[in-house]
Amino acid sequence: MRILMFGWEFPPHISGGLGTACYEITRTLSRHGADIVFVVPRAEMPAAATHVQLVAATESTLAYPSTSEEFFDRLNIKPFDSILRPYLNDEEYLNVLNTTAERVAAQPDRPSVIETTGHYGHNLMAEVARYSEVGEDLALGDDFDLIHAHDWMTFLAAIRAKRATGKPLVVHVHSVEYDRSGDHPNQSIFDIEKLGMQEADHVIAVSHYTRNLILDQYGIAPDKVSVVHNAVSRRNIGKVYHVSRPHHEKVVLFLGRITSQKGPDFFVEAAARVLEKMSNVTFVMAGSGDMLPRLIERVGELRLGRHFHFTGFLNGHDVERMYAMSDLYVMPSASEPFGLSPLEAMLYDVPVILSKQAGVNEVLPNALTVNFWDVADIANKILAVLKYPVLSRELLRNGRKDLHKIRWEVAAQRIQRIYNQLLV
Amino acid sequence: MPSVCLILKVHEPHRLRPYSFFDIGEATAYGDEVEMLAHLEKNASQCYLPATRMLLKQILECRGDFRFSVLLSGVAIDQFERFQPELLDQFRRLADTGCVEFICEPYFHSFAFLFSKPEFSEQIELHRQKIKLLFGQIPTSFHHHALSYNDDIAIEANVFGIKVILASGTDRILESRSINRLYQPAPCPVQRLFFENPLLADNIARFSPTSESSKSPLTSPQFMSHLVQKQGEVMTFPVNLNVFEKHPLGGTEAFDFLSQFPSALQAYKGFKFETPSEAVLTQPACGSISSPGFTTWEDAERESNGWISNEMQKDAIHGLYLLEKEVKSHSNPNMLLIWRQLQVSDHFLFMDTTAHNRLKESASPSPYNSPYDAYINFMNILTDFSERLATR
Repeated sequence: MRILMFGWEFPPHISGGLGTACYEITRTLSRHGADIVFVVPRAEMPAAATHVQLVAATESTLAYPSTSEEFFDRLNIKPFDSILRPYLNDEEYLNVLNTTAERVAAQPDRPSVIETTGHYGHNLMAEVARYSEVGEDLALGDDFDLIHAHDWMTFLAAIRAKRATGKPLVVHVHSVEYDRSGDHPNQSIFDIEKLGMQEADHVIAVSHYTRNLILDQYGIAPDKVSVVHNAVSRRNIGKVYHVSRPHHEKVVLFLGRITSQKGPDFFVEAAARVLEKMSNVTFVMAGSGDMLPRLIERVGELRLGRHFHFTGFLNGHDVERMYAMSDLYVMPSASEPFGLSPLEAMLYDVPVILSKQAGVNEVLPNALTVNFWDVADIANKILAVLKYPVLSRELLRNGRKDLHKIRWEVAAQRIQRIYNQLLV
Repeated sequence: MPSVCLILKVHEPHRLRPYSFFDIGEATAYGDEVEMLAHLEKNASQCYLPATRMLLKQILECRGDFRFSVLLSGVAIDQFERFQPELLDQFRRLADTGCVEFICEPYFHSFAFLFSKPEFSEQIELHRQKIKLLFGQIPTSFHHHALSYNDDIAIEANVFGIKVILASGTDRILESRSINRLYQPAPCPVQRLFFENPLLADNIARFSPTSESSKSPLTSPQFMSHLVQKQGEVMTFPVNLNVFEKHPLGGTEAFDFLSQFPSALQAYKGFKFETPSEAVLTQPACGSISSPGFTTWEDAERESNGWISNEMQKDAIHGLYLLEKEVKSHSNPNMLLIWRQLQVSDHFLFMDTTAHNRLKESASPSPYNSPYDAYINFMNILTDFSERLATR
C-alpha cells in the first residue's frame, strides 16, 4: 500500500503534539508495510531555537531517535519550502514572514519538492493556497493508493491531489478552529476545514470530543467520522532522570502554549488559592504564547512571584527534566481535542489533573478531572494531591494500567482498517 | 417440608455534601440533607411505599402463609424518621401481622467489627434497641456486612442472644456441602448458619435494563418450578428491596415478580415460607462449620471486596477509626453521631476503583465523578473533623 501523506514536522524539529502524532503514525504504519510519501512544509531555519520562539509553539518536545532508524527506508520525505508551521495564526504568520522568511529566502538551494513561482504568501491564507499547489503536482507525478492529510493547512493540497487522481482521501482532524479560537473562529479556516471534511471519503478524529464537534459544528455525516485516539510511546523516555524532589517544596506544573485555549489564567488563579492554604509550593509555567506577559503581570499583582517560575519554551531534555521534577501536572484547557502531554507526565510518574474538556480523558479513566473554569475545584484538587499522598499513589498505580493500553500500535491498526475499508 | 426464607434488605447511604479543602475549619455540616431527601423521596414513591403496600396485601391474602424478614439499616431508619415517617408506619404494619421478622446488623451499616469490637457491640445494641422500640421485636437473627462471616462474629453475636447468622456461601467455607441447609457455627453450636442462595438475586438483576446477562429473567412461576427441583431444606434469599422499584417509565417486571412470588410458591404443596428464626425450629442442622477467616473477602474468586481493598479506602477507614478514643473521651453525643455516620460503608464503596463504572448503574449510584473525588471529599471532612476534635 502506498500512501501520499500531508503532514507536519519531523525530527529533529518537533514543537508540538501534531508533529509527534504524525511521526508516530507514519513510523508504526510503515513498520506494518505501508510505503509513505510524506510531504512536509519546511523552511531551513538558521537555528531551531529561534524559530520555536518566534512561532511560540511550545508543546512538549521529547527526545527522538536519529533519522537513521530503519523505517525511514520505507518513508520518502518530501520537504516543501514553506514557512507554514502547526498552530500558526495570521498574526504569527506575519511575524515569521517578516523576521525569518526573508532571511531564509536569501539562502540559495533551499530544499523543495517543486518549484513554485514567487515567494512565500503575503499572508497565511495565501501561503496555504501556495502550498496546495504541491498536492496536484505530486499526485500526478507519483503512483499511490490513498491520500491522508493532517489538519486544515494541508487540506487544500490534499483536495487538489484527490481531484487530480480520484484516489480516496482521509482527513485526520487533530484540532478544529473552535478549539484554537473559541468563540471567535476565523471563517476562512472554518471553511477550509469543512471543505476538507466534506471532500474526504473518511474523517479521523483524535477523540469523541472532537468527533462531536465535527458532527455538530461542521455537519459531517456520523458514519463517515471515526475516532482514533492518540497514544504515547514509552520509547519517549530518553533518559531516566533521577531528580531528587525536595520534600519540603512541592512543584506543580503547567506545560503548554500560553494561549487562552490552554487555560493558563485558570492555573494562576487556582495557584493563588492553593497558596492561601499551603506555602511550600512552587508553580512552574513552561511554555510561551501571547498570554504570557499578561500572566506574569497578574502573578506580580497577586504578589506571588516567589512561588512562580516561568521557564519559557522548553525542549527535549529540559521537558523531561521538568516532568521528573514535578509532583503534579495540571492541564486546565478550555478546549483540548486530545492532549498528549498528560500521558507524557504520567510516564514520569507525575499524577495529572485534567480539564473535562480534553479528549485525552477518554483514554484516562483514572485521572482527576475538573471544569477548566472552576478555579475553586482545581485548587481543591491540587491541595488534595499535595496533602494526601495516598491519592497520588493510587492515581499513578491505576494510571499506569491505563497507559499500557494506549499504544501507537493500536492507533495504527485502526487507521489501517480505515484504509482497507476505503480500498475495497 | 423445605423452607423458603426471603430477606428484604433496606438501606440508604448517608450522603456527604461536596466538601472542599477550603471548607476545612469553616463549615461544620457534613451531611447532604437535600440529596438524602431527594433520593429518599424517589425511592419511597417508586419502591418502598408501593412495595410495602403490596407485601402487606399479600400477607393478608395468604392468611399467614407468606412470611419473610426485613433488614432495615439504622441509617435508613434515621432518614425515614426525619424525612418520610410514613415509611416507618408501613414497616410497623408489616411487623404487626406477625409474619415479618426484623434482622439485626451494626446500626451504621459499618465495618466496626474489623476495627473495634467495642464499637461493633455498641452498634448492635443500638440497632436491637431501635427495632424493639419501633416494631416490638427483639431480633435474634444477624446479618453482617456483605454477608461476611467468621467464627469471631458468631462469638460476638452470641452475647446478644443471636440465634441465626446469615453468611455468604462460598466454596471455601462450604466445601462440598449444600447452601440449602443449616449448619452450626463451630464456636457456638446453639446458633445456626444460613447461607445465601444467589438464585433469586441473580434472576432479579436480569430485570435491570443495564443487565449484562444473556439470559432473560424468569417470572415467579418459572422461578419456582425451577426452585422446587433443588435439593435441600432451607433456601435463603437475601435481596435488596429497592431492586423491585416501579419505574415511572413503565418497567414494573421486577415489581410484578415480587407480587406473584407468594402465590407462585403456594402452587407447590411441599414448600413453605418461613422466617429464619422459624426455620431454626423446624429444620435440622447438618453439621458444624468452622471459619477462622472471613468468608467473602478472602475468597480467591473475587478480586477485591469492594469496600476496603485499595490504599485510599484503607487510608480513609483507618484514619477514621483512629479517632475512636478521642471521640468517645469527649462524651459529646453530636460528635459521636458524626463519627458514626462517617463509618457508613457506602463512603468506602464509592472509593472503589474497580467497581466505579458498575456503580453508576446500580440502585445507589455513586454521587461522585470518580473514586478519587470520593476519597478527596471524605478526607477533607475527616481532616476538619479531627481538627474539631483536637480543639475541644
